[in-house]
Amino acid sequence: MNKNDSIMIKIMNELVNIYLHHGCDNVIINLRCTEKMGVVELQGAINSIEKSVLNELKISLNTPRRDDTEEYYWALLGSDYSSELNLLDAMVDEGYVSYENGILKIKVIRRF
Amino acid sequence: MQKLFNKDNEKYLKYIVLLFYSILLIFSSFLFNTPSEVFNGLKTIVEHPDLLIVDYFEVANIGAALFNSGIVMLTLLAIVMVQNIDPNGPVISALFTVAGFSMFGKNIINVSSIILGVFIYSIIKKEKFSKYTVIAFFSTALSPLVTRVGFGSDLLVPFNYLFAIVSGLIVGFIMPPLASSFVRFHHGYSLYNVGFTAGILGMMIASLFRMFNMPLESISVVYEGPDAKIKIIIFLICLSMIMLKIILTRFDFHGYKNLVKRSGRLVTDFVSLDGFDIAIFNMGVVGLICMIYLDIIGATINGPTIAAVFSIMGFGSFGKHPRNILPIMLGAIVMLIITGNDLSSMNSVLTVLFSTTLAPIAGEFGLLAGILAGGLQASLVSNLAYLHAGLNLYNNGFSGGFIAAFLVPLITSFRKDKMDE
Repeated sequence: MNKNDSIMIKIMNELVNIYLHHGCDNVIINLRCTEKMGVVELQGAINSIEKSVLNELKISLNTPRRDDTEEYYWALLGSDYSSELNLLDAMVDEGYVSYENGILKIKVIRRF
Repeated sequence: MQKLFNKDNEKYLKYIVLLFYSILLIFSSFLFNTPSEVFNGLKTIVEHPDLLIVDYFEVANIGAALFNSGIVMLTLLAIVMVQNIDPNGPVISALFTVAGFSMFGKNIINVSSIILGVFIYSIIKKEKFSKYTVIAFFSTALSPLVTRVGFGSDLLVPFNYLFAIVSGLIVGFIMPPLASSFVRFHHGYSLYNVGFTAGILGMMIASLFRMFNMPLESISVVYEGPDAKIKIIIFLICLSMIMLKIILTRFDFHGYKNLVKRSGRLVTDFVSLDGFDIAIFNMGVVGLICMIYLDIIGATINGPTIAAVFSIMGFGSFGKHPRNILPIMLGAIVMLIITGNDLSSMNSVLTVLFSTTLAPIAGEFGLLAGILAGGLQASLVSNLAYLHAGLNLYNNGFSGGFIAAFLVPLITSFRKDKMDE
């Protein structure tokens, strides 16, 4: 497995963490990897999620990507011991978050 | 006044501030020594074997140590600026840590060769060097190896320089994959991650030296002279950072409340998350805490103590704040007092200050976990220097990696049980 694939899996794990943490027990995941980019789309039912969490997530996923941080710390992503939103934002190019009718949808794009 | 600081000019403002501190170090050197003393001292610094602990204040002079620190910081900053890197928390923490350690162990020769080794690695991997710049800066933890190989043996000029540079290149070349892998060992709960990586590598190199009957003799050269003037300079640097925040964004401290709530676990970049103004304010505050502590216990301000203070200030932009460093320091202090150590001795001072590598444990798990981590760190750290024979300048980072790897699974296991109930 190449490094980009490993990173995509870790990004996916980190995002799944968010769903499980908010009580979702059925997460639908769509992971696509091409030569140029990786895309992860997730959706799942969540009873309630605070607006501040959604805002933080939106800001995190759209903070400019940081190559320097990524290379050094990418192995921490998807760790068992804590959420790594701070690191996630440094590793993705674009992120979309929506919460409508109790369904949380997240789409993340990472260019290779 | 608020227009002084906005998103458009933020990167350039950071450059100017970092330039200011590196130039300040260079110019302040002439407050202590004449230019000829400074330049002769620089030659001594470059050619002195640098196993832990070699205080440049003592082997050369205060002026030369400050000049060396300023030049190294300026060189690293030039590398950042040439690549148009926006100095975030990891970059700022690396710059201050290297600047601090340039008063006891790092100089332009041993630092450059290791950075060049990382640069060669990036070329071979066909990746931009900007991806590896932070690792390159922190990898200079093993710079004593460079001067030990070059100038701690009987090699003649120019072979000593050649061997020194080649050893640095090799270290730099192998550090990036190791550093990004070892971070998993402690799950990001020890901030000096390269210190842990360098400790493992230093341990292997030291064992090879011993295997081939070339034991690395320990060196301990520490300055114990007058320190009133240098103390004032470091205090002023801390205060200037606090003042800078007030100049940039006045007395708005709401962001600081958010900052101190963060755990500080890798990767918590205060510059990106809370803003440069709040981050530099925090750098000044944690630096001031260290200086007040050193003043209370009556420790001499010298190369190693400034390195510790600068390192904590640097990580004030990347994980450390008063709420997470104080419990760790308290734990280390209590352990040292219980075991009858003199708090003002060099080893105790460095243990207490550098133990803050474990700040994320206090930040995430609270006061008691922090005190426990600090106490364990104080007991373990003195046992590890033998393993790498002083080749690794970040000895507390080495020890911190083990403490975090030991404590975090235990704490989270009990925490999870509690949550499940």
